[in-house]
Amino acid sequence: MQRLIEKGIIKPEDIEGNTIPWISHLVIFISTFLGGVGIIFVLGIMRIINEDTLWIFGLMALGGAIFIAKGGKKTIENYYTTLMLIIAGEIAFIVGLKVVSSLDTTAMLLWLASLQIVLFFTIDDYIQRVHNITLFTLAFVFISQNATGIYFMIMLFTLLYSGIVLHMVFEQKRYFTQAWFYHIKDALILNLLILTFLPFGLHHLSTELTGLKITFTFFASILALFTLYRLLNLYDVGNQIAIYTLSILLMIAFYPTPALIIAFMLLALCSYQNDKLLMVVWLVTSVIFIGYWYYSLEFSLLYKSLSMMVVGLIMLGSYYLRRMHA
Amino acid sequence: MKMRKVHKLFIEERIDKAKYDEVASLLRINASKEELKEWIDHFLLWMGGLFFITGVVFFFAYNWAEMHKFAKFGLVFAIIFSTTLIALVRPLSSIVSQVALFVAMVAIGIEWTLFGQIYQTGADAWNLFVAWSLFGIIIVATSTHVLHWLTWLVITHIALALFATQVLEFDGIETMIIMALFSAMIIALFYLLIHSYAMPHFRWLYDLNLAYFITLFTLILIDEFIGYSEAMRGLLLLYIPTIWLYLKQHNMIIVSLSVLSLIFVISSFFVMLAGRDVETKIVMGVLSLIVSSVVLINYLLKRIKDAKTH
Repeated sequence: MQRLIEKGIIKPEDIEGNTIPWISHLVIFISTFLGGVGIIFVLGIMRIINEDTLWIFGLMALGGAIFIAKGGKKTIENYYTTLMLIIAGEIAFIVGLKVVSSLDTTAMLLWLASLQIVLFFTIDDYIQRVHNITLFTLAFVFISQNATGIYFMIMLFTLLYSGIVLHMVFEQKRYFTQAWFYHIKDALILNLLILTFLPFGLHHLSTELTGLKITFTFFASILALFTLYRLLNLYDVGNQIAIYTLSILLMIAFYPTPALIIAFMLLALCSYQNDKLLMVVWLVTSVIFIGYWYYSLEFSLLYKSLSMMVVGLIMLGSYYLRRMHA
Repeated sequence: MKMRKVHKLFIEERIDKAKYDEVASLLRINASKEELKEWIDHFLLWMGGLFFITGVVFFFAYNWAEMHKFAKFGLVFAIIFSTTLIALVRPLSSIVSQVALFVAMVAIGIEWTLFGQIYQTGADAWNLFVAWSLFGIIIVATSTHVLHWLTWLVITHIALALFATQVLEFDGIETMIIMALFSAMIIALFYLLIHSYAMPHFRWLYDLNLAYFITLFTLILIDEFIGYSEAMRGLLLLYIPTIWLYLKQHNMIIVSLSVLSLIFVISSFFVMLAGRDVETKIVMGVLSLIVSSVVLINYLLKRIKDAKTH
């Protein structure tokens, strides 16, 4: 920041004030979520709403939220009320609709996803948009009732979001000055983290899903190779053929756990740009999927442990050789 | 945080959008070739160390019968000895020493586990963690790296929790009180190290412990409110000055956590005041939650606005 002041790009008073840390956003979201849910309970206890009128209250709450966000003053009270009404409205509308029209789960989730699209383009706010993208993703993931369908959705969203994050990082100049830059980038990275955790309850990595795994491995490898290509050319690295060959061999080896390829792609992005959120996603995804990859290897624990030690020693040896050459 | 601040300045049009390239180059948004090389070195060293020691953990988990017990002991001793030697011959601040000491810290635990595995001493799990934690003190006493301290703190907390539940037969809340007391001692230690011994790199761990302590304190207090415990008044008296001190902190993450803690404590206090009727409890709880949230989030955003960028 000091450099920017010295060059006259910003004035000293511009660095006064701070941006809102992610945890403050989380605090605001938790309290508004509890407030939104609480409002439904309180109105229910006071007999102002019941099961039949829940969806009407939901629509009114959503309408009120949009009205306050668009027409109201930018005060904290209005901001808090908007978020709280959106939470209360979403829950009341979806649950109320299910009660009165006996919608099936797919239709209900489609309503939820559609609602997120409307809110995304109507209210321009960080918490709001992160929550919209997350609910949209979850709605589509759970629309498929069987494990294969859910795994397909997880694969689709993982590849789609990874691709968009990749594009936003390499083409940062084009998007960084847009107000929505962090709304979307953070939401997509957060969703990649959620998608990492989702498969575990669903047993999607069973042997029946070989076709999907091959598709996932193929597209994930294309994304990872593209990342490698951009980085190798940006830094003008030598021995490119050797690096590509080693990477392709690794990708083939990671076939039982294609998400590891995505994890390594995110790792490459972290080396290029120091983004803490990306770093967290890479670390969590790698730890989980490296563990799963070792678990899925059909060797005894003895050979698995020995192979782990050997990989560690190869890495330490590579470090030593690099230092020797330096 | 720096990038987000710059992004905000672009949005507020306090920086001309045409100057993006100049800003990116001055702030070094993307790593240079030298930084990339250093990054790869750090990655290879840390990941290599982690893979190697994890492999050792699983190797002993397999409990290979054909390997003689002294060979097993010897292998782990060799790891501890060689890594400690590396840390001694190189400057302690170098990354090689840091990785070596981390591997040594984990190897100490493996050695104790091996001892229990071979001689079947029948000792409880807390013995292993207490022994591991005590030997770990030697490493953290010589190291200033946060990861060593963090690992030691995790081991010590597990030891303490196991001791409280297995020996003292404490329930969940009593164990949390013990953990909170220990955490308070660690906070005092880090405060001393930062302010009296000029070790600012412990700030991160200090903040982490502050967050951990306030989380435990909040959970304990809410539990006391729900259970109408007699200890509630005493804890509440202790909570007020504690939260006041927390709100005075410069770190906005700590202030945010304190605000969340206050929202929960105030709401659960009013829920307790509402008596036994469930409907009154819900109405009181929701109203106090909404009012306290608006007031406290207003305060939080004002603090963030007033704070200077680091």
